Amino acid sequence: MINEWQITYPVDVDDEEAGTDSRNYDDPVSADMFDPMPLQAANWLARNDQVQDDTVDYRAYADLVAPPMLTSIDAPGAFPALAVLGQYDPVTVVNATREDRTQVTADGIIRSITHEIKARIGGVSWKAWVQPDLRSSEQTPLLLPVNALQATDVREDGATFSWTEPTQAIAPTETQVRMNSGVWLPIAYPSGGGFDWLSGLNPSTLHKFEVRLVRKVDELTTHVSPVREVSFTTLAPTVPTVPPGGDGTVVIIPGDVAGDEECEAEWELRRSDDGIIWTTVASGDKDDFTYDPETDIWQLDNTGYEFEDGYLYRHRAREICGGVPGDWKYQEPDPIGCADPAQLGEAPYDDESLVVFVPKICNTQILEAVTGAPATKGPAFGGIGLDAAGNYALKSAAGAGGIVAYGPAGTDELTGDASQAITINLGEPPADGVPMGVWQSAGLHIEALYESSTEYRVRAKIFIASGGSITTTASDPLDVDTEYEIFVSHDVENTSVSVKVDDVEVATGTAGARVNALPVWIMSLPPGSYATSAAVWSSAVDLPTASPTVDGIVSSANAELTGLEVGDIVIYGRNYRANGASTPGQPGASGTGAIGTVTTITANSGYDTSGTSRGAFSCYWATVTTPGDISFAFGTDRLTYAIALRGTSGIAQTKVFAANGNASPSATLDSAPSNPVVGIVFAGGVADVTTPGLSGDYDYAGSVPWLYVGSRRGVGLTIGTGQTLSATLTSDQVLAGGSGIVLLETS
Amino acid sequence: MTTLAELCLQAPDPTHGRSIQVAYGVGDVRLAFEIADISAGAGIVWHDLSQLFERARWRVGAEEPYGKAVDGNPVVVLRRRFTDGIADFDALAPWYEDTSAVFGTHVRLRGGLIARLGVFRVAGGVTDKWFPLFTSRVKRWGDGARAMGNNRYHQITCMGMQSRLARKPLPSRLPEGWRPRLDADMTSAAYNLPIEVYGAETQDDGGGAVPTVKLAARPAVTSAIEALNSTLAPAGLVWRITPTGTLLVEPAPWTTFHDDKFADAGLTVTGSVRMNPLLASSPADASRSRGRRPTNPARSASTTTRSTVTGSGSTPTPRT
Repeated sequence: MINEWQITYPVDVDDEEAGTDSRNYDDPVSADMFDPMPLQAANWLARNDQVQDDTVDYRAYADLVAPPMLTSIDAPGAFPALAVLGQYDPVTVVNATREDRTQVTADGIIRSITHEIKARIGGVSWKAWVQPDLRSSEQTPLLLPVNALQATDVREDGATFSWTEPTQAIAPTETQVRMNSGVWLPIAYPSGGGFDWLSGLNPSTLHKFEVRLVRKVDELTTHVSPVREVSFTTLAPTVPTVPPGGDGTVVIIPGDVAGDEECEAEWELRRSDDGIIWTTVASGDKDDFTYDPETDIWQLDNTGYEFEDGYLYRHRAREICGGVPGDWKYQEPDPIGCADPAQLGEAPYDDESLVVFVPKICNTQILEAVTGAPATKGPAFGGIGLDAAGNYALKSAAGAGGIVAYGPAGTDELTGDASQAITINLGEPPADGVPMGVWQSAGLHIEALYESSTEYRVRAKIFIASGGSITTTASDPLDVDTEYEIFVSHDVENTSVSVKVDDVEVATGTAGARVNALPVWIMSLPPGSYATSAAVWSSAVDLPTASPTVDGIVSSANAELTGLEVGDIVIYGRNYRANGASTPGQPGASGTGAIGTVTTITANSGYDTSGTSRGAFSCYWATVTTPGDISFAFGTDRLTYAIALRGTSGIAQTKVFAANGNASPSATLDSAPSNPVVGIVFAGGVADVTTPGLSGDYDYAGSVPWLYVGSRRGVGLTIGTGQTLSATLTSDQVLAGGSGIVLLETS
Repeated sequence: MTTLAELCLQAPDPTHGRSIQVAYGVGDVRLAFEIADISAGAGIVWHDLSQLFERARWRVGAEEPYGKAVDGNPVVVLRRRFTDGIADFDALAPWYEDTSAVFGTHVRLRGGLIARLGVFRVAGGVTDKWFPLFTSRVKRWGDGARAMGNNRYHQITCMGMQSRLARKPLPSRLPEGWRPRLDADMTSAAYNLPIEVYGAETQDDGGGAVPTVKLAARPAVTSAIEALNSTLAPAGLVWRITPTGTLLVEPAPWTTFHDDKFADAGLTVTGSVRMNPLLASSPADASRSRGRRPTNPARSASTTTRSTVTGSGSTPTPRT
């Protein structure tokens, strides 16, 4: 029994001349009951009040002796402790005889140790029986594991699981699950008694699903329950599938499309650089399939084909019985190859403080690009696709939202300055009232919040060292089916958090140092979404401004710009002849803001033009003189547009490529402009214009790539100083009297 | 010239021992069983028998709670094989007349030899870590009953070094402090193994140095062990033999008598401070952390530095 203690320690371990200091700790209740029982004074290398206090606390009411314990040389930490333990050395015993019983922690000193060493080939067997005299004990309730875990609905690429949650003496705060992985995935507690992992698993494969319960206090884990696991084998594939561990050059062909004595079969290997338009690059018939009777598997080997990085590939196969072809069975699109993401060569992803970048695609495997650590496909994983710039992106399944992928990251100690980014295109908003952390790591989350059935907002959530979390303000509504680059920067010293969407600050917050986070990254998306360029930096980096800041490219019956500031440049106009007039005229401006002198942008101003007429659209610019919102109204039958630029002083030159009546208007920037260029491409004439026929290094800009009014279509774009553009409208995209391309070079 | 005390504190030669395939930093962790022949006098050295080591079992510590250390009675078994390369199969028999083929010189294998077992690490060709396990006297050198066949076993029964204190009669002593009596008794017992002593020996509060514990007069005793017990127990001290064969005297872990002396800023204390090693842990289970009780403000306010301790000047050493 010990109820008081004095510890002496150096004031400064690096300065012996600084002397020593001491600290006392006692348990007055124990001293009153049993008389003072001090432990002899001790010297420590450094001050550690917690350990000193615990040492007394654990011994203040000691009255127990534990039986001998056995340890052996192969037990973790057994060597060299086996060799140096001696009589009177302190010892702590932790024991729980069953999962549903309490854990007993007892402290004391060693009474005796019996050693037995036996020679073995290549080494020794060393056992030691330790007999302690225990002087204090403490009982702690434990978390119980979940009960009755089972896979209830096993499918080709997923399964559903159910379990029951026992009554606990202490309350768990979250459930954690994992599938074939060393990384635990947090989900809610109570979990509702189950979890759906509906995609991302290889078919015909044995998988292991594990569940445990965790209690956290102030984000720190205090209790972990035993793990419960269930193994299951996914069903055989019904579409061409990459075998487990394969690189995609060999696929399993489902037996029902492999052909037989009565039916022929055919296959195709198809390639796409956008995930939309596919081109057949190889094909064949059932003679190309090989059959393994032991596994009952048909395979198609295309290793002889030269796959290229940057494309998606997929096989498809079908049976032809009696000359009648059946339905194609499509493989999930996959890339082949293992190139580093192109973004890593661009700012700010080339910053040396980059610690996490997702995804790097290595054949069909997802990697974290900085460390090369493999990721785990989450329950909502829906395949690998491409973003608007042709970068590999991770997709969520059409019918399943949630965690798409997750993996290890060394971000748990990243509590200082940090930045995060992710490029997202959400197929639908998150569920109403349930913010979704689309990108989580380092105690910093980028969240999406439900706004309406077609809109959502984003904000940052920061887990702070003082406990709990805070959130920034939320952005203005963003549209679904639109790609945005979300960027969050946390400056700890200035306690500021900035949220940007497409390089425009949309929300701010105040937060100090963050708490240590889980050493993982997690990407979550609503159904039918994709994300890419998810990154973490260990500094407050900023995004480059390669293009003029575009507050908005909007179009409607009343093209509306909001939040204008003095000095912003407003460009506006329309693309349809008004009531037979020879020129479309200038839309009227209204709202709380005001613009100064309006300058008409004339065609053929300093650049070449093409086409037979430029009278189908008008273009003007002016400087904002009064901050506020401005609308440009010009009727409902024409495409009225407006763009606001910040950070530029005006328009230096124009390049107008008119298209009225022109079958195929086109324009090419022969060399990169010296100043950023903003442009409008008008199209129309068909109901579903999806591709404006643009190529080059231009960026889609603003929050609305395509402008819609009736059957009119437009796209806003920006061209950086190092970028080029070649634009062509196909004949079916030409709308008589209103199609064309306008490029404006800023100054 | 090597004394017995120096021999006991000598780390194993890096060429001795056998690798035991334990990962502990860099280098090769080896197990060494060695013997030394006291009859060699000043030329005493450790002879390596590790390659023949088969097994060992011993105990350190006490029988009863908070009790005195008892003899661990190490038992070591050596195994000879025909294939070991020592030509004569009888070479380790206690009756063998010339063991120079094994040791380079004849060592008579019998009771009275010093035997020790330890593990050590060899890095860069030198012994840089040493974990001695026991150092004992050989009580009996056996010859295996199963001497037929390819294997021949020799069981070596040992007894602890405290046996060198048994049956050592000591003369009577006048009243004196515990430390002078300890030194005098060990001298009378001709104890020639290493000794480490910790504890507050004298105290001076300004009126002159006096023993911290003054013992009554003692009649002659028949055993130095009995004398050690009667000397140290009243002073709040315990003794035992460490794995190097060192006689260690230190304050009992369940008393604070000696620490209080050193901690008392009003005293000038001679002696050496002995600190038990501590196992510091950071409990992952926060539920184990109970509410902090208020620290005694009077004690917390005090500041003690080691400059208040004057004594033999010996630096506290880790337990061997």
